[in-house]
Amino acid sequence: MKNFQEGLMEEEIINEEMPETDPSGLAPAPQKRLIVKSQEKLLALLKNITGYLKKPKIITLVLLGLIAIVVYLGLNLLSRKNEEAAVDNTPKAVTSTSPQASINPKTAGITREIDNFKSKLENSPVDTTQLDPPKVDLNITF
Amino acid sequence: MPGSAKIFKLILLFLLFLSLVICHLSLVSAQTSLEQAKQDYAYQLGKYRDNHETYTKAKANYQAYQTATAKNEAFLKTKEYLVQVDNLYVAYLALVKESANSVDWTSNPSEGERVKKLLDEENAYISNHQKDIQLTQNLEELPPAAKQLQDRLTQTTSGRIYNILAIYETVNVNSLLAEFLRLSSSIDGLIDQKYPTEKPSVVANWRSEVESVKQEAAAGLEDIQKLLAQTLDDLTSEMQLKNIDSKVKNVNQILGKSKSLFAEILRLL
Repeated sequence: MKNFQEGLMEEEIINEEMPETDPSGLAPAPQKRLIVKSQEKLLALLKNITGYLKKPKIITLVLLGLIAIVVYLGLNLLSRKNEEAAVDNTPKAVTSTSPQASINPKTAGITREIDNFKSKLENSPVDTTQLDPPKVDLNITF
Repeated sequence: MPGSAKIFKLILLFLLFLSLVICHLSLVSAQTSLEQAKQDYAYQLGKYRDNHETYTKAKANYQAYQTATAKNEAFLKTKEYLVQVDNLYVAYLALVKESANSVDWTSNPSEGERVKKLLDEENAYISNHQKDIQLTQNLEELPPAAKQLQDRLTQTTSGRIYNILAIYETVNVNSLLAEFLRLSSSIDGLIDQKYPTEKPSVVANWRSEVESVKQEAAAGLEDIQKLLAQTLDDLTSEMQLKNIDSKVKNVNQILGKSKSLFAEILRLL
């Protein structure tokens, strides 16, 4: 009985020490070994990365990058909003010691419209002098 | 630790790259489509000049030596040049089309649609011509293809472009006059509100000045519209465009008087 158990244990140890063999008796597939190795490498790399990510320098750099992206996106969103609304053209109230006539909102509106009209008169929206067709040489002879 | 230093450098490089991308993106988004069209046209014009130079050299070389190699070189350079002529016109038509977006078409939206249709037709012709050029196999095929394009440009495209430019100017003057009329009538209303019974003597003079600006500008616009109506089959000559242009300047000058007129009346309100 004891001998029988010893024999079993030996067999187990030999099985553990021996490389895995196919039931057909052929050598183990090299692909399997590669997969195991690459998995180990991947795990080691992940551990390394998590280690680096804990460093304050790296955290600061990543944060700076994220802040840059957030600021860029924020500015972009702001610029896409109604541009006219962004420009505050309403006349500012000026505090003065002398009594002042109240400004009629209709007059203020018309003043703004007149200013727009003046700028349209001065700068035509389409400058046709800049739109002359290009002169090309098509007199191709050989 | 050497590994850590390497990672640190890599992240720095990544951040530098990111900032460059962000900077580039913000510059691109800041450009309007009209500015982009202008830049594209300027770029195609520069490229056209370069291609014209290489084509002229290849042509001179072939005419001097008359060898098969020189002929092949002349064919390749001429083909390249003609393709570039088409590219230049495509960019130019895009610029003219983009300029249409700056015009206020509210007074005549159908005219805006017609302009876009004409430009699309011209663009389709040029694109087809470019495809034909790309299919050519020898030098002898190129002069007729160039002649074909020249005929189209002189007989149709230029006339249509001058017509479109004349329309832009007319529509623009029309909308300026309409705005002047609207503003002067609003000011009139404000004057009546402020001085319901007795009006200062300046008001009467201001009103007569405004009336004369209205009449002169309306007469000028009528002249422009008559000139534009003389064009047949959507074709305007360069001379007709120049006439319209000078009349448009005249109306703009008349409307320019409104600047001092409005400033004067605002002091009373």
